[in-house]
Amino acid sequence: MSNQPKQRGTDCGTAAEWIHLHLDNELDAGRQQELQAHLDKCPTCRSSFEELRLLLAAQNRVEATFDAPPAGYFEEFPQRLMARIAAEERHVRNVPMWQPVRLAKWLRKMLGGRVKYAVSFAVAAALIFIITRQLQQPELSTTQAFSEQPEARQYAEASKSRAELEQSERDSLVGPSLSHFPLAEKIPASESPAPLESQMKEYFVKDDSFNYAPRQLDEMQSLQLPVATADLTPDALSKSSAAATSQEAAGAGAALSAKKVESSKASLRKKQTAALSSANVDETYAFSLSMPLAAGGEEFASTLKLAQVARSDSERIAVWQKYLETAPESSYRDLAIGRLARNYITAVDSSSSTKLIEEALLFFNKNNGLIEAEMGKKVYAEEVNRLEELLQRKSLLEQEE
Amino acid sequence: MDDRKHTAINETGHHRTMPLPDRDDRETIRKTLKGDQRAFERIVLKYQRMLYAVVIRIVRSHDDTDDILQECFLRAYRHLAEFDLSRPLYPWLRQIAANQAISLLRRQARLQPVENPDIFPSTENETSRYAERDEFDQALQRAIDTLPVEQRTVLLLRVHENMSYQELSQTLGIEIGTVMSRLARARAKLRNLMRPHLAERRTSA
Repeated sequence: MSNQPKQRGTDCGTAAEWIHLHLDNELDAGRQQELQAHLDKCPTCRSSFEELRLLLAAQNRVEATFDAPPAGYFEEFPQRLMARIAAEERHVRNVPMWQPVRLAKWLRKMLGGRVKYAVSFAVAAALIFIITRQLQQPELSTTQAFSEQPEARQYAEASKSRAELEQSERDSLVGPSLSHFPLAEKIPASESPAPLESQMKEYFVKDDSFNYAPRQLDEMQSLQLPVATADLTPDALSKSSAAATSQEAAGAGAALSAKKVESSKASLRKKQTAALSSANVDETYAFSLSMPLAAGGEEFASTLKLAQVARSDSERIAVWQKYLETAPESSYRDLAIGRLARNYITAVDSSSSTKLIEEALLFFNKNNGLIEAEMGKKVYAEEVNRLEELLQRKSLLEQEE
Repeated sequence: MDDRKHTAINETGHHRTMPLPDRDDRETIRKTLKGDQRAFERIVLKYQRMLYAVVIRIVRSHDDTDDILQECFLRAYRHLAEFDLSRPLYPWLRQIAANQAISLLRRQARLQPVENPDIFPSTENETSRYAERDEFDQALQRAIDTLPVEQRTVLLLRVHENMSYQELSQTLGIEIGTVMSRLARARAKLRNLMRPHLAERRTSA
């Protein structure tokens, strides 16, 4: 061995790390060879590798079975779940009139639906506050009317466990890196205006039993209140947030967040780097948007935010189109193109507009290189074929008319 | 590298496939959002078993799994309008479920005294399925049970769901480096706990 030329060679520490990657199919071919070379020479590492491989094989065996649930479980589970959903839906509709939620809905109807839900909610809450104070009736004072000052403070100051629960629910839905935006709690109002609805969401207690507890987005869904079709630009949003947010609540919320924003910035940046270096479009969901890395990052960040609050495919498409028009030099351009491509696909599914299909096809052809890279040649080809077929079918129909 | 998401053969020849493509799911979601509550049942029927399999391995209790599954689907239902239809549905559901499972275990851990990891938990509660396995596998199962929540979850999702490091990072909301270190620690721990069994197996091989 001593007359062998000294090679670059892998050391045992690196090999140990690489063994795990190799077991998980995450080690690239070049390094696999290096690892193999090291294992050939090093009995310690070799035995480590053997044992870990054995354990992995055993784990696969062990996991091939698990305790089957009681007989009939999978038959009755869906029924139980749907019953719960039905009960929840019914409950919301039966909420009494003097709760802010109901009153807000009524107000909105009266005002002709031109008012944003959150504004009418605030008005409703304020009205109830005034009324309860005037009447001083003990029953009403037990309402969870948001405007009751001590309760508002209590909610806004959110005991730590509740804030954690909220955060974990958000985390579990979208992953923590995404959940760090665009909520007022996480990003100080001066940096970027959060959509009003999510601001309001902060100050309501999520009650998972069926006691009344306002749940903003859920209320909106189940009451089928559309988000105002008005401007979703940051300017318009900040105007309406300024108009309707209570100072008290905003203050308490911001205090909570200042510390967290700092510590999260560093880790968010790391995640963003990782996401950027990946070719997978889904990585955009791992984006941290409080620290843009490159040119165009801020615009991309706010575009992603807007796309998130958009309530329809056509809104999302408009959002991304605008971004691509206004940021031709952006480093995030290909990610935006990928997003837009996917939104076209889903929009075409549910729309019967010929114009949309043509637009989509044009977009796909124009950006074929980038889109292929994003979704893979096969999927790209499939989708383009589908669009072309749809278009053909439509023009045949139109000819017949 | 092959497209790991759809089928992959890992180290031990184990196949994993993802369910059918998502056009079906998108339709169902749209119907649900338009007000057809019952359409959502389609999603429950489609994914309940897969999600059950994921969660039971993490929390190891049927009742807890049932609670978590309900909560997972309920949350999905409530937040359906926020879900971007250009994403596949299953990873999202799985993410909700996995994070629920972890929260539950953490809450439970706070209530119970810390176990000595060198002592295997008693096997009184274990039913006959364990008895059918050979001793090596039984010991391994017990060893996995002693792993701390975070390590166990990463290990289980990695092997059972065949998730890539990137997917694990996204689903669990941790850095890739953390994924790697948890896996390494979990495996080192298992190797340690299984030392006598491993020695036996190797000498008899």
